[in-house]
Amino acid sequence: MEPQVELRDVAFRYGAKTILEGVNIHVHQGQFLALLGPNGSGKTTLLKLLLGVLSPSNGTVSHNGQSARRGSGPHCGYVPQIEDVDWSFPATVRQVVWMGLRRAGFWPPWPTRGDSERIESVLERLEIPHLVDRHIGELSGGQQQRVFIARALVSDPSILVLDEPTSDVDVYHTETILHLLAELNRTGQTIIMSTHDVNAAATHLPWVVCVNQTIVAQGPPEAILQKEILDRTYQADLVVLRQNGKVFVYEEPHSHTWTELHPKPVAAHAPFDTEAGADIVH
Amino acid sequence: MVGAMCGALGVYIVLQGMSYIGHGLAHAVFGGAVVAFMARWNFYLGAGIWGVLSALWINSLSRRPEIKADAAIGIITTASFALGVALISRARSYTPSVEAMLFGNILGVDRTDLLVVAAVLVASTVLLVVYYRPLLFHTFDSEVAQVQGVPTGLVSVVFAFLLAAVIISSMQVLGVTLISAVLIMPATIARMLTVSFGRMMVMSILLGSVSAGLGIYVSFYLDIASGASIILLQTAVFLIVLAWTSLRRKGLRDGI
Repeated sequence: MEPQVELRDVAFRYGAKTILEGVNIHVHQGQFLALLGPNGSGKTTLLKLLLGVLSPSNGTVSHNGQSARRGSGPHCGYVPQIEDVDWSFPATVRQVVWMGLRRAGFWPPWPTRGDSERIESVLERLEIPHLVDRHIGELSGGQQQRVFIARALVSDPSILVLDEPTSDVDVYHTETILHLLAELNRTGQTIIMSTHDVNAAATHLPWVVCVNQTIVAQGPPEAILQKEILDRTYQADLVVLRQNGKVFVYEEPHSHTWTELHPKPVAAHAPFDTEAGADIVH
Repeated sequence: MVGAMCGALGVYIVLQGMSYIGHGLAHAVFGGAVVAFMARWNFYLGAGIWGVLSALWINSLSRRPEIKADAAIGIITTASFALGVALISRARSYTPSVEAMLFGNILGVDRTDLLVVAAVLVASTVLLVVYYRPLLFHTFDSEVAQVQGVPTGLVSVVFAFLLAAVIISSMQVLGVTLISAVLIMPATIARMLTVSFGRMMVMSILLGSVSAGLGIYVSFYLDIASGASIILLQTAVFLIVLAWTSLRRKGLRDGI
């Protein structure tokens, strides 16, 4: 089976600066993969090469076995980083999702009954039909992320691409968004996302691609998330723990921990409930 | 007609954070208008070609990563305006028609000007309706719009043409120096009053056309430039809305 998107020996340069080089990656129908790497490692550039927004400086990009031409990329739904969005823009959830519909003609310039049914159906699927007439600026980070996923999905894309979907949401919403993506993938949706959250990728994704100016390694998380590979990817000293078949990663402090610096905490840091060692409200 | 056109286009300009484009493009068009005036060409031909070329050049320059949109607007438009000023000073003839171009004069509007304004109004209405959704998506999030199949290059070019046409056709009434305010003021006032794009568009068109009509009426009775009286009226509305929204916000904060 031909991959939906394939990059062969791709390099991308921005002026004299090399962002990516020697990139070989292929994405097949139904895959769910994460591009994992630190900030500035080239994840977003790689996503844009996969989307066909950027053209490589070297190498080839092909879609379904055909050499890519400008504008001939696969039908993608794209969810950008939510911190890049103007949330004060005067638009409701319905209008934002409507923007994502692909229609043959320009007429009429308002949502038809068919459009409204599709908008409501995708909002139902993402469990946010009650938000349809809310202004986008009134929503929580998790809800905003769902609205953007709805906009990306409303035109039934062959590939769903998300740039750091968990970067600006809390732990609970990270969990629910990744769970939602896993559910979408179960229905056959190809999903590519970028993240710098190793633990989220280790727990929720079946395939991980470690990126730092090139592809450091790719494969299932249990094979890929090893100290040597992660140290090379993040250029840091990471500790990898394995427990009950799960992988947990954290960074070894550079030189000291808080308690090493302050063996005797100041009064303000002393817990109120000294017996329990913490001030916990039950 | 001029107020309605400027009100509609202003919504996209304000939401794209490109309020300076109207100011800049009007100055750029002035260069072309002066060239047309000196060479005794048709005003609309000279200013039109110049304006569209300037808009396209700004559009193409601002796509370069090392030149931001505000710098592209600043460079092209001030250079063009400077050329107009240089030509006038060389000719040493500061005529009433040049003054009308700079500050606007409703009494200088003839039948041809009215026909041009009407034609641009019809064309801009058709294009804004036809491109409503792609233009909305492009304004909200251009990169995602491009990925999801919106021809963002074409949409930008169409909008640049439209803006140049509206500015050129409005020059006789509003003047180069005052057009930008009429482009951004109604949209900004409307934005302060609503969080709905559709309502913002309707309010901006209404504010633009009503204030233009009243402004011209006032300019006739007070014997002041039409562009100035329209903008002073819009400024008064802006200040009232600013005071009202500030009081409302304070009331909400204090739980009144």
